[in-house]
Amino acid sequence: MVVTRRLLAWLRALGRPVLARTAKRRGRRRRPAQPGRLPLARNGSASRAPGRACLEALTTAALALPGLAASAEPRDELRLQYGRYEEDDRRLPGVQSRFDPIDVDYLNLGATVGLLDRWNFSLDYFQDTWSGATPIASAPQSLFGNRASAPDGVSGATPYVVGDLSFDGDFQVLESDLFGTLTGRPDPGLVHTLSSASPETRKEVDFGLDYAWDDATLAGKGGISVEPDYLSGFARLEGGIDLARKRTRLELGTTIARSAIDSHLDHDAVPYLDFSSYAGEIHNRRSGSPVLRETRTDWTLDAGLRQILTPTTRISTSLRYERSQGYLANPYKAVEVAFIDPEQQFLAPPGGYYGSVHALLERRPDERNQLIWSTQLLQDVAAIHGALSLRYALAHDDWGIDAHTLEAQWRQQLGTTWLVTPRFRYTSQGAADFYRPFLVSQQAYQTVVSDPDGNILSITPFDPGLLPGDYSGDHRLSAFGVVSGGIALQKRLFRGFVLDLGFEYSRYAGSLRLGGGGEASFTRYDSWLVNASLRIDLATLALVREGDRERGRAQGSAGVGAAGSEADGHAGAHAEGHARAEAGAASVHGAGHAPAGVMYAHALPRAGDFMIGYRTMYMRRDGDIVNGSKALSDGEIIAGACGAAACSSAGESMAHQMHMLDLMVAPTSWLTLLLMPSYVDQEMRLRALDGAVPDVHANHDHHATGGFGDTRFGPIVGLLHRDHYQANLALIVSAPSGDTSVRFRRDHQSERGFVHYDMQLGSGTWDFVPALSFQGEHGRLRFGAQTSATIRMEEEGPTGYALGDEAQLTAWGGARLTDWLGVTLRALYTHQGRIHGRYDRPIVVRTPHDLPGNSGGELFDLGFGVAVGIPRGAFEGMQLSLEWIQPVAEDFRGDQLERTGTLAATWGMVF
Amino acid sequence: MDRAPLIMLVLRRAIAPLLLASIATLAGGCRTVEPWERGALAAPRMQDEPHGPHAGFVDHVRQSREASAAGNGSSGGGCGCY
Repeated sequence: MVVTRRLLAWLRALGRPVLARTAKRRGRRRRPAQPGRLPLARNGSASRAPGRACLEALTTAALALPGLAASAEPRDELRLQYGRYEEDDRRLPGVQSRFDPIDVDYLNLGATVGLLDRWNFSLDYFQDTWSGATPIASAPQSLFGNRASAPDGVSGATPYVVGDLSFDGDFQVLESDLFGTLTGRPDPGLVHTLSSASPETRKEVDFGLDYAWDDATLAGKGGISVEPDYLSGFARLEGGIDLARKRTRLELGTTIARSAIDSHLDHDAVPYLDFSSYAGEIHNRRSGSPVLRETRTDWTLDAGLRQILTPTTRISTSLRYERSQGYLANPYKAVEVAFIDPEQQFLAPPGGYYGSVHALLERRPDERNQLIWSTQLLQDVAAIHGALSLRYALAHDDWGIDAHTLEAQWRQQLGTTWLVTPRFRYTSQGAADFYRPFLVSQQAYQTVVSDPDGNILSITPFDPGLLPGDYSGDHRLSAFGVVSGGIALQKRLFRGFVLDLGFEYSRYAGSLRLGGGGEASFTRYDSWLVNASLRIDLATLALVREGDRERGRAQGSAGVGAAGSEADGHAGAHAEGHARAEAGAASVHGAGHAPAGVMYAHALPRAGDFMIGYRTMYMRRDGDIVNGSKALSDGEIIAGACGAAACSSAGESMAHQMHMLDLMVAPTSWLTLLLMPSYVDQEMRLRALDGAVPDVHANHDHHATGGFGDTRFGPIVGLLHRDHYQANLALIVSAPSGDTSVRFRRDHQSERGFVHYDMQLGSGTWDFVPALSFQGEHGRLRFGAQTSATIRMEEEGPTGYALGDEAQLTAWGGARLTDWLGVTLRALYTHQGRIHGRYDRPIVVRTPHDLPGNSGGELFDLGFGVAVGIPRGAFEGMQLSLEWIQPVAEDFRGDQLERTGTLAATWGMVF
Repeated sequence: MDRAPLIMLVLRRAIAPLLLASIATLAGGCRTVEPWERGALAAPRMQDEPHGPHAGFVDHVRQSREASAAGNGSSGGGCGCY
């Protein structure tokens, strides 16, 4: 036991709690003794002489050093991560685009679980939501691709991808003003033509399973990624073997990914973009809108070598081959081509040419073979607890892109819990062979033959054979360099919590290319990203809990036989230690957990407790448009659901998902403080109404929004807390951190204004959310009730309206079937008020969801819940609850989309 | 085309010596490092990437920003068209 404690203490000092668990697990397996390996008996004591055993213990731990077998080390870990990426404005001479630059919100939730002794299972959920403008093409400035359509030069900026240009005798573009008048100077150069899309969300689920032998690992991974226009799945197999007593490690891996592209061709761009080279791949959706359907396959093979060189130096090198086949282009990028028709030059300047500019969907080769060699050197400087990491990578492919990357990090440990890493990275990339930001072709775009009466006899399109076989103006395929600098911080908090923060700023510019020769300055832009993640190392947490228990037991034992007040003191300490150690398990069995869809009912039972949780609600609507409780026909919707206007389309389905981080701390035994930031993503599909006046917007039948939602915080006051029942009063405030000014993009030369009211990301107002809850248990039975309200504390939000007040009454009963499984049945009555006011700027009303009067109602639902609590092991104290809330009856105000139901899920852990 | 700044020329001259130094270091790596000498190698600062979540996010962004940035094999794809 003494040796085991020493070993664990040494391992903790190493700061690698995972090793502790590794050693502990190996002890449990009772493997036969091997040279250089410590056989631990079942109770954890060494079976050899203490001195020798101690040395061997250290040897065992050192042999199991991570880094050489990192991919398969058992790690019971939970991960939460949020990241944000933003770009600055693109350089658009002569016009100030109204488009916001691109921004991306990134979310990752994941867990790795040790199964059996040497198996690990991991599950990760990723989500990206992006919005903003990106270049659709690049063109000479004289084409005025980012032309302002409003006098202020800002508010109406919109992309133009067709037009006219004049050239001199050497086919150099001549500068002209917006009215086509030549200035006599050469054109100053290319600019990007920006286009904006409505927000979109990508969701991905990955899973992995790995097995570790003593000197080898094998892992399998897989995942699926879903976007409205892109479905992708991958599978990966990788393995590694340790040689020379783990001084050397060889790794081999292979990945295959299959993707299906289902790209909705922008109805606003269809008249202006030439899709003729993909005519065979374009199909019509049920709504009539055209889509480009393609597939691609990516296959990789990679091999790596890691080597310990000295006690302070490691090096690793890897070679990776990637082969991609299929549709490798980007369906949202075009190349501007100036067609100079030799027969139609009556508009040409003297000695020059006239060209008609058209945008062709880009074409890339349908195959790519890429080779990447990467080497990393790690040098420890023990005297100052720092380490230097240098990495160089060389990439080469048969598209002609060569790239060099150099990355340097200085990793400085400060104390035992901080790791601070300034990072620098430089990349230089050559251009693809087929990179063409702008093309000139000496042929007509179309040759029209007419008879003397003006009747068209034939139209002959341009000859693709006179253009390059492949062409792309995507600036990511150009020659440029990137300089990035940033810092990453890691702080090991208490009880196995690890906080990571990171920041990086990057500049992309042709002038930064190694040796010069990069693309001109129109492609230059800056970007930055921030990242925050919290990891919970459950192995460390288990050790801490075990320590708490041991202390509690020891104190309890010491108290036995002691006299009077001293004994009382020990008993108190025992009770406190034991109670804290058992807090998680108690919260599983106790009366403290309501069904997953009930919020603010739970308070922490002990002063000093801390809880971290995750809560998600997925609400779905599809079916008919309902007025009151009556389904409407399309004719009734057209006539009456859009007020004075006639509806042209209506919601076919709508999904609303809210992710919430649930943080609680109890400063006293009767008061719990709650903080709940949220992240929201929503998706709506529209359908054209039968009999409606045709509307170009109806073809744009899908849109989505996403981003930070409202943030809730406040106290939960314990009114009553007994062994088998408790009552709490929550006084929550909701801060309007969710955006309520999300707009549709401009299309067909018109502004459509804000998105539907129920697609905004928050309420827009400060809200007060009181909730009075009662919960109890009797034997195996559980029961409870809650009354709650949402009261808007402002008349209107920043965009002119306020959501209606809400009130809810709910009651539930259930049973604990086993010590880890419980079920509940719940009834809910909800009153929702109507939206007050309306958007303070004009919007295009074409669906029932655009009218504030179509909101609110009386709702009656039933909830079916299940709760799983983990009473022991690394995940001890964790509770997972699920509840399906089924609509039973509804009386809507106005015309609203029928409800399908809500899935609520919560995960929580008390520390 | 823009002219390369001075820092680029310095970097260009630094890459070749760095590569040579790496190869020389690797070639000299025949010393036996006993397990009990590996304490420093186990420190968090000596892991391949101690800031895993941050690096993962940065790599994810780069895959959609640089044509030469390959996936790490664990990405399921996605259009990355932003």
